[in-house]
Amino acid sequence: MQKLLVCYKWVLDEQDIKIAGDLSLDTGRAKYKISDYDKNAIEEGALLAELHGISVEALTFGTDAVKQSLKDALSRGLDKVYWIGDAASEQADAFVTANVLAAAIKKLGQYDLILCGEGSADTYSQQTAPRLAALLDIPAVTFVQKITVADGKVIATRKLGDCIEEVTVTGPVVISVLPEINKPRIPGLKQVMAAAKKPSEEVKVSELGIAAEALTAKVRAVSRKGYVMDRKKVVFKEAAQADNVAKLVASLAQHVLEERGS
Amino acid sequence: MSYALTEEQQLIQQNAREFATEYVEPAAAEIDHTAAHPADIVKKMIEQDFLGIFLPGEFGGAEAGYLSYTLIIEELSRASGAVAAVLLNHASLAAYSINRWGSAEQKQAYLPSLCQGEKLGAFALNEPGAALGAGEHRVTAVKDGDSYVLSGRKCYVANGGAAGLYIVFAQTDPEAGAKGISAFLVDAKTDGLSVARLIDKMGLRGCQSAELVFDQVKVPAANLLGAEGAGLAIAAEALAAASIAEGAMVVGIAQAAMEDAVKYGKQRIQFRRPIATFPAIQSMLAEMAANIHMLRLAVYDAASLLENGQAFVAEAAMIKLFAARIGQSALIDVIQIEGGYGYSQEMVASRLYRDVKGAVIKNSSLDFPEKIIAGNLLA
Repeated sequence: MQKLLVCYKWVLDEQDIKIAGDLSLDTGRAKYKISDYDKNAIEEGALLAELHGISVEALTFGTDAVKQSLKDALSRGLDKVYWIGDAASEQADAFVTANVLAAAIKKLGQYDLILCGEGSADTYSQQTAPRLAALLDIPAVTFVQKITVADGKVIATRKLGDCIEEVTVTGPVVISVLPEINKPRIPGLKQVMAAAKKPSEEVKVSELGIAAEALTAKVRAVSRKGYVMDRKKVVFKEAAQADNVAKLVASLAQHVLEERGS
Repeated sequence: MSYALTEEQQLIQQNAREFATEYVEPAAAEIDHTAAHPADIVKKMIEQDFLGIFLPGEFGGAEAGYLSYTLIIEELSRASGAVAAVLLNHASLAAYSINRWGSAEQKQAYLPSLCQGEKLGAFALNEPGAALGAGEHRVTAVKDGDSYVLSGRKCYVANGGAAGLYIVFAQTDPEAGAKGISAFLVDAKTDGLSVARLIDKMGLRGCQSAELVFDQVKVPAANLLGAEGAGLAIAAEALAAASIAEGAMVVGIAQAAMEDAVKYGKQRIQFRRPIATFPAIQSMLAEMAANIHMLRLAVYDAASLLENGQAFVAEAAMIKLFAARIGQSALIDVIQIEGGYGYSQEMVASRLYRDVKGAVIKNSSLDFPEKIIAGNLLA
């Protein structure tokens, strides 16, 4: 295991997005951030690199705004970031993103382990990592909550719906990680200040030889609206509080039964 | 001049907010309740390089600048004014003074341990019954060969008892009054130096205020900071630097209070609608938002001046003046908006009110801010 690569996405911070009365989204004051699960992927890459004394680089694809992410990413333990800023990302779905990332990785060279977040904070399609592996013709291991590297092999623990599965992989592999795999560091001041001195390099989509159809999204977002859960506004008005409590408990129990049955 | 934060400053602000949310906010009420020095949080702040934030890299500092430091103070203050005050007294007063006036040997001897958190810094200036800057200091430092012998009592020493290093102001020439005050670097473990008591305060309770006793404390002459008689000038500038950070504290505390009032105003129903829809409530919120915004810009401006080696004392006094007004008025309005709940100890407004009062009253400048500002205008 010599070289690690982490893929990350630069997304709007959902906490800054306001939902208007008509449920339309106001992103006017929203700042960008590294997608949450991708922070876990970066942290895992940095931890593995620190543990094994190897290098870890990152690759990101977004609009020109993605350049703002470089110092944040580099302050998190990465050695170098390759960034692709292109208008094609504005309408990109996982199909387009994976095509661009795969083409860039083929140009950058061989990586033994490619880490991604399980899904992005904005669309959460969970498709980029498996698509990337398919395009690179290497295995994909998803839903990973623990990674161990030993004797040139990667041992990944997967958290599935009804079991925990341990997978051993030899050779290049794409792994998508779950948030519980680690707790991303809060970069210290010295790490932030040192990030400005670390290298970053632009990769242009035009230099990757990607066919036009591979840059055309398969998915078209028709509209995006906020989601509001209406309160049920059930009020118990029995004279005795004990009766109100009993009714509340019965109502909650009924709700749980309905949830289980659905 | 541009007030846009650099990418590094934005990252530092973002990371400080995450740090404060993750580690400081959950402990804030308990710190206020127990009034205990938050040693665990200080340890985590050391890991984040907060203790040497604007100090030179050669001594282990992060060289991130004074503006970045005020951003951190603001973010910490949103969660706990007491934790911010611990850092402020260490950095703005103790570390700043040594970096500004210390000899090469003093910087080498003390700044690395202050940056690495081996020692927390404190400023021992106040005395019982003595007016600041009036030359009434009763703590004396008498030259004895290659040493000075310090005697007397200091009070309201922030970080007192927790600090490893004190900058102590003492009268070296009682005849010279205010011009006879000198500053000394005194290790907390020096024989004869003891903590008489911790003073129970209404706010900023986790930032210990101590009364110190100096009983024939022998300090090497090499620990004189600056020249003999320079103590007053050192204190005046360090307190001005602290005023900028205290402005950031007020911004952080008032911002947290305002956000709490907004949240409450949206939830609290009176006359069948949220009270945030009432013009009287909106008027109070709008005024505090405008005041906080203007104070924040003033803090950025003064911090930039200091960082760039320009004169900042008059601007710092303006912050002191403005912060005292808007900080307290914002908290009074927040408690008014939150009514009986805001007045209760169950809501955060009560702690923020007590803390904001501490932020504007502690580390008083040697003169009234109005006098400093007017003096600058009329000079």
